[in-house]
Amino acid sequence: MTPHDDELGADLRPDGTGAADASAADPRSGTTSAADTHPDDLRLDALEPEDLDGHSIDELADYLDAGMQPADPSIDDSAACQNALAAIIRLRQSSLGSLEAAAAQEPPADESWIGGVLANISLEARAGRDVPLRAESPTERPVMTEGAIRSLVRSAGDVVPGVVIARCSLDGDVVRLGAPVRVTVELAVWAGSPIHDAADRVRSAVAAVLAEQTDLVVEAVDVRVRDLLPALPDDDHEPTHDEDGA
Amino acid sequence: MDDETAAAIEDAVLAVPGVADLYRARPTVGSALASARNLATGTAVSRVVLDDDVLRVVIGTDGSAPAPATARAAHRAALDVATARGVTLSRVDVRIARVG
Repeated sequence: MTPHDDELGADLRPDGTGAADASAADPRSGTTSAADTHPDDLRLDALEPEDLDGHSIDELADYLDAGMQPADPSIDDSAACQNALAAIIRLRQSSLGSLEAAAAQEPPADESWIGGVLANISLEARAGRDVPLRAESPTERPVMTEGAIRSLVRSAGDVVPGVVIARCSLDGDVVRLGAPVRVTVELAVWAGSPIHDAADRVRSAVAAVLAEQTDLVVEAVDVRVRDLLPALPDDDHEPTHDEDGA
Repeated sequence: MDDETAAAIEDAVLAVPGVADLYRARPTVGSALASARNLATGTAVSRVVLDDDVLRVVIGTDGSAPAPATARAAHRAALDVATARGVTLSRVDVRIARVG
């Protein structure tokens, strides 16, 4: 476990080392704020305007609330803004209503949990470094932005039932083709969803999408379950395989 | 590179299967001056940028095909159109800024 890991946190590596003990997790304490555990990397005010081509995550959320009207070309034509908007939409569709309901019942720290996720979306969506793709001719120099890759990782994890992706990062010399890269995904699991199953699904989904869409040499996909969220209302809860078989 | 050639390259890149968006490539000083001239004359600003003999293209893909293959096809499409219109390129830099 890293020094940052809280009592729920655990590194869930493919080899099973450091695996979380799902049975030991107490759902009642599962609303631990990610913002509390990562005070230094979840600050919205630390963002530079150029991170999202001059826009803030709040502006993008407002733009969504307004139905993206009137059209703003500086947002519509910005890949970083589009990556962030897509992540916000997925977050809202999958969980924000339930998160807000949970926040209403819990201390104010939970509001900063959502803010922390939004801050991470903003940080991840910025273009970042150019990650090379394999060229097959001298006239070709293809690259993918780090922001596009982080968005890929987040979108792959977001579709796994029972989880909310909090943060993802790439570690390694990503600007060098063939260099080993380690991917870290931090997530929250809804109480009632088996933690190992959710982590395995996220790991598999992320590894698959990176293998298909990039030329990264992925050394490992580390999944850290940082939070346990209150159980979803029945209507929102899609059962997992484990629950089906229980 | 004239505006018609730039527009033809944009159309060709957008016609590549898997390409969903074409974003404005970050301008260099030279291309920024050209863009400023176009703005002054009311001409549409090109989303592809030519730096000497290197063409820079920024795309978003729809995720239906592997991004490296889509980038390769976009490079080919841009190169073919440029060559057909008499523009010699030493390289086409394709940058994927968004997938899906």
